Amino acid sequence: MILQLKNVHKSFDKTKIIFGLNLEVIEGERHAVIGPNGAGKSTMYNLISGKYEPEEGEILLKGESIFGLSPYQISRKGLSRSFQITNIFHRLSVFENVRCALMWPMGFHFTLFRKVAKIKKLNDSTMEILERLRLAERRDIIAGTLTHSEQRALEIGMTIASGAEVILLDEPTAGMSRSETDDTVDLIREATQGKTLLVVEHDMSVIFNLADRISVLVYGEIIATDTPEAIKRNQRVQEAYLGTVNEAT
Amino acid sequence: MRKILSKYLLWLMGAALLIFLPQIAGASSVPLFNQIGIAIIFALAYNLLLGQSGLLSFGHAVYFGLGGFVTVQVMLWVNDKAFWLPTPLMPVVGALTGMISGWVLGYFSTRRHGTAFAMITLAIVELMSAGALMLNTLSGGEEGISAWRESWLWISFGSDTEVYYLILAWVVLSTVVLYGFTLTPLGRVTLAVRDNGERAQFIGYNTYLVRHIVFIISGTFAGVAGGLLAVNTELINYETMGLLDSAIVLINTFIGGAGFFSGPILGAILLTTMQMSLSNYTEAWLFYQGIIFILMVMFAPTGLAGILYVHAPVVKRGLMHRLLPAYAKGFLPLAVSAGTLIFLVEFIFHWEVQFYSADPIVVFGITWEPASVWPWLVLGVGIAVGGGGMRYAIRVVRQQWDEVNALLKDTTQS
Repeated sequence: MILQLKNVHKSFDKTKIIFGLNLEVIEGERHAVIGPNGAGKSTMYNLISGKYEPEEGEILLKGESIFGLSPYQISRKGLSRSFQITNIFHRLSVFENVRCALMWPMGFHFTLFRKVAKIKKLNDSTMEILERLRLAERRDIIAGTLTHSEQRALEIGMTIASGAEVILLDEPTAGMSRSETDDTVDLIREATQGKTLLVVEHDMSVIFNLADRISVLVYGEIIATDTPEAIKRNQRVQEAYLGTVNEAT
Repeated sequence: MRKILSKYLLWLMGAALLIFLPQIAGASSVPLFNQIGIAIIFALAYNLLLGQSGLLSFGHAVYFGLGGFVTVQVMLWVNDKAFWLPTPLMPVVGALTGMISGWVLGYFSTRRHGTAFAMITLAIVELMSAGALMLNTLSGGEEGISAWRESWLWISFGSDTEVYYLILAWVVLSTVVLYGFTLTPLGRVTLAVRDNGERAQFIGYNTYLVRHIVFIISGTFAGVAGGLLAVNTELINYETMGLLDSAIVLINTFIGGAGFFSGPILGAILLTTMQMSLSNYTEAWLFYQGIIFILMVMFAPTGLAGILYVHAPVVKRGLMHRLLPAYAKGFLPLAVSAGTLIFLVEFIFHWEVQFYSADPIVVFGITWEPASVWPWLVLGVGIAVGGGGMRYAIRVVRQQWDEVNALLKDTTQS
């Protein structure tokens, strides 16, 4: 078990968003989380990645508690996440965006006495990732001026760049056309080879295409975790989350 | 080979100009150059916060002033033979002071960013300058502390020109180091933290620590500038660490262009020159500086460096000849508008003075009578001609720019 949430609770003011959430992610699997709007998917991500602190419960990464750690501490432990709303360095070039994401994992923490342009392995790795993202030709463009789907690709690129063992993607294909979505799914599959992936997504074809297991989150609780086939047949899931599953399949 | 040579030639010419500047411009201009040099270091240090880290500080003169205070105190000890440090190394004292105070005070201020950071810096500058005035045994009160520069080897440091070379050396050193910082991994991460602190956290960076380190570096160089001020003026008082100097460095940096490394240098040169020369002619200098600041914030937020840089691709593609005539057409309306504004300010200012001094109102070498029609006629005509002309000029310039932009797009695509 690489990532485990046990009886996690979180509320904002008096509204309880997550109550008693249990989730188990097995090492090396591609695990999807689905659920209706407002079910608490993004909140769950923010709890795992350290943006929010849970009120109750336990979160274990590789068997070690990450409860109450800051985002940067969790990131250094090998968990990396993307954002539903594109969250990049808008005023920096595409190249610099990816390079910044690579710096900490490659050991350039607060390096002061080296020229960044002369650190070959850092720049080479950056180029390699840009090529995988099909953004190599756009390397010098200011990231804020990229198209929506290019920004999404960059967002994913920055998340996988770190080489983290556990990758959390939040609606990676939101707002993309069919062909862009297919490209992105290929990219995700390729980039998460040998890693553990947790993905939140609304596009059911993406989920059934990508996921080994699916968890269904409804009103702050995981009501089922199973293989895609079993989830499709699950009575409780159909009741809670009717329509979309059948529609897309 | 020729390309390399021409590149170095430019640097050599620049170096030669800086070295012979006192001889070329004459000894009377040297005090101005010394002020400019100090302002450049201070503004470059400040821009590490404003431009590179996105931290708006209203109180950076604290580190400048503390650097100056401790340096002048050390100079005093050297005068009293209680301590030994050669004059050229005095700014090191300022640097250490700025570093330590940046460390301590930065620890509190960089906990936050945005508006909260700005408010904390404002509180600190008020606290420090009020404190300095109250603790007059340490700060010398309103008079401040004075000391003199000791000679070193064969250099007496008696003349401004000798101090000029000392300041020049420190300006070059500081510029190289601060520019070098932008090329390091930490320098790049600083930009990332500025752009999106949240994301920077999720790629492994403790943004608070990044801001704190940058704050310490910025404080260090503000301290260098303060130390040079102590060496240059041989006097520091509580006002040096006050709000006015904090505002001046902000204005210098912003008008020069906070988004560019060269911006603060341009701003420091231009505004210090204007301040020192115009203050001989008008007492309303701060008013003009304020107007320039407002106009830049409204119409050219990228600063002077930004204005220059948008022309770089135009010059590169040889399209400048399309813009220059439009700019020439704009010059006359601009001159009339500026002239009218100056007339208005000076006329009102002198009129105000007349109430208690009974001096005649002399503006542009002419005596004006408020009761007559003439000043009002000049104002009316000036506003009409200048305003109308500016509208026309802006239209012409904008039209030319649209055409040039279209051409630039064409050539990049083909």
